[in-house]
Amino acid sequence: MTAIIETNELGKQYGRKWALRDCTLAIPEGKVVGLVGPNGAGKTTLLHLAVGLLRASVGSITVLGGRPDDGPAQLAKIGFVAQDTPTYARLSVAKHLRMGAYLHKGWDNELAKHRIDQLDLDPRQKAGSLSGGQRAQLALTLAVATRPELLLLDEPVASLDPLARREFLQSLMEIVANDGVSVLLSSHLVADLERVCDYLIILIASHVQLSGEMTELLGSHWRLTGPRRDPASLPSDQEVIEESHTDKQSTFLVCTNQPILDPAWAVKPVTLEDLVLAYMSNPRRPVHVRAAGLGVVR
Amino acid sequence: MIRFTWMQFRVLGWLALGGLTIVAIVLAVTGPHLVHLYDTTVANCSAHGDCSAATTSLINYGDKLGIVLKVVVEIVPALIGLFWGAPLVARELETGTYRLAWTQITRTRWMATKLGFLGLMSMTVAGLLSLMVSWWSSPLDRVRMTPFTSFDQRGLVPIGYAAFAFVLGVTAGVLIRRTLPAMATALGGFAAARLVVAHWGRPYLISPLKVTIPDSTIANSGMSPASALAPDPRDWVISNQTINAKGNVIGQFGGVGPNGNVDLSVGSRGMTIKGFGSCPTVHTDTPQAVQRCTNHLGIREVLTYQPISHYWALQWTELAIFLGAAAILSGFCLWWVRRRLT
Repeated sequence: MTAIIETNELGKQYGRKWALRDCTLAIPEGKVVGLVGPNGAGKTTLLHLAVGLLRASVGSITVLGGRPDDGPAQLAKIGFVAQDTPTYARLSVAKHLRMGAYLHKGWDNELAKHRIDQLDLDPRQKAGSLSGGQRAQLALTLAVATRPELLLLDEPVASLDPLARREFLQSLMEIVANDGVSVLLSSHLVADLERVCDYLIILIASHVQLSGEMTELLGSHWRLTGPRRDPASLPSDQEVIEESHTDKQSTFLVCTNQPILDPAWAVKPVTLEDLVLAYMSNPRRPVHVRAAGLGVVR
Repeated sequence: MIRFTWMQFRVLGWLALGGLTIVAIVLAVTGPHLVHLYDTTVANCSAHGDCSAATTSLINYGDKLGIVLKVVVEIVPALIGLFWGAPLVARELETGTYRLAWTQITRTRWMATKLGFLGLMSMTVAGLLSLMVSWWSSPLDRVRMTPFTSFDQRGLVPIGYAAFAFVLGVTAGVLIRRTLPAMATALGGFAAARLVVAHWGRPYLISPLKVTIPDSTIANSGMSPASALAPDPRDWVISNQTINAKGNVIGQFGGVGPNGNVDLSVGSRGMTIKGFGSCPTVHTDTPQAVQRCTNHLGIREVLTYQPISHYWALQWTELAIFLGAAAILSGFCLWWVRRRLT
């Protein structure tokens, strides 16, 4: 697995407050990676560090083999869509495309124009008068038409209505299918990530709580319901992520790559939402799920 | 990047060009008449022996527009600092578009291009304006004979002011990160810098000259305009101190003491000026007699002044000061945006 983004004990400090701390992770290449976590977990900070908008206070970060602040060649490899998809309100759609052409050697004007046509955007319209969904699409177009190796998107759909959100993610999936670009997408909307991502990283309080292939994650977590039981009595390969008990009954959300043989349990698969919520409400040591089984990252 | 800078700046750029054009038209319409008036009346007034009427009518004709132009030339650098400089970085930070711009292009290049391009634009606008106004005002300036009073609206210095105001605005925006407070700070800072240089810098940028002349104020019992005493009426008199025979400073503007009052009396032993001594040979208090006595007692005036011959050297020096400050602030902005704005 080659990593497109690799961080080692990365941290960013503002005064005495840490926005991100001890962040160690490796994001595999060629995937659509979802970065999920509660507000303030450090998602935006991590993405800004990756694209060179911020400088790390401690630790290191490597993106596509280079340092993020390593000049124009490094910037050209990355397409970035910032949170709330900023555009220049007083410049028209067409001028945004010209900006791209002015600033990038490898600008693909055909692609950009094609996307604007497809989206039915009026090139003369000022970006400030676009709807949130249209603006997000414009920002995505600007990022994609630079033909990057890696697309970084910071909560691109958070402020969009469900329809615009679906269309945006649709666009993103088409781009991935056509260009084979790697994508890192942060969101706190789990349902959206489920639709587009094939790899997931859960970031809580700047620590990676869980990372792995989506299918592996869903295939290794189960909800067990049965008679009340002490979690210590569960088999050692079953790691308890979350537990709840009534007088007679226990419910566990466990992580295991072994079959669950105990007939006392009613075993149910978990949804991604359950999974993310379980990890978010029970912060713990980092877990990396691989096809081979459980492993602790570093 | 230059094309992108122009694209963003276009509206403001056209606005400035439009303003310059309006000024140019107004000056082109009224200027030739001013020159004509000068050539037909003032230029040969001494032959007719009535120069005051000629100069008065010329000044009356040009004064109103002259005041407007004075305000325009003074205010344009400040406006450049406010509307071009302060929002340059602050608005990008405020609206979040820096995240778009600085991930498209390295911020060093972004900042350098913006500073360079808009800085040059600022200097061009101020330079053209100064050139036009200097040309238009030249007949009036020749009549008024006080070039130092319009020093900061003529020649080269407006270019320096504009460059400095622009970069000061950018710097305020970079540090404060919000447009409106940055504008206010830039305006205050620019006004302060102009004031400090004009009052405490300009008189001494080149060593001023000194000349000692007989005190004529006491005899004429009134203050004469300092410039009238200078070797050339166009000289700029910075200070005028009254000294006694020993060379000690005893007052200002030919007067004595804080009020400038002199206690003189004529008695049997001649004229006595209290505190200085008496002149036994002077027995009347006509101005000529008083003058003889003050000369006898060694009361003189020392003028510290910038001669008209220093005018252009002072212009260049003040231009260099403001351009230098602008360059230093530009370097600071580049460094700050690259290193600290993260």
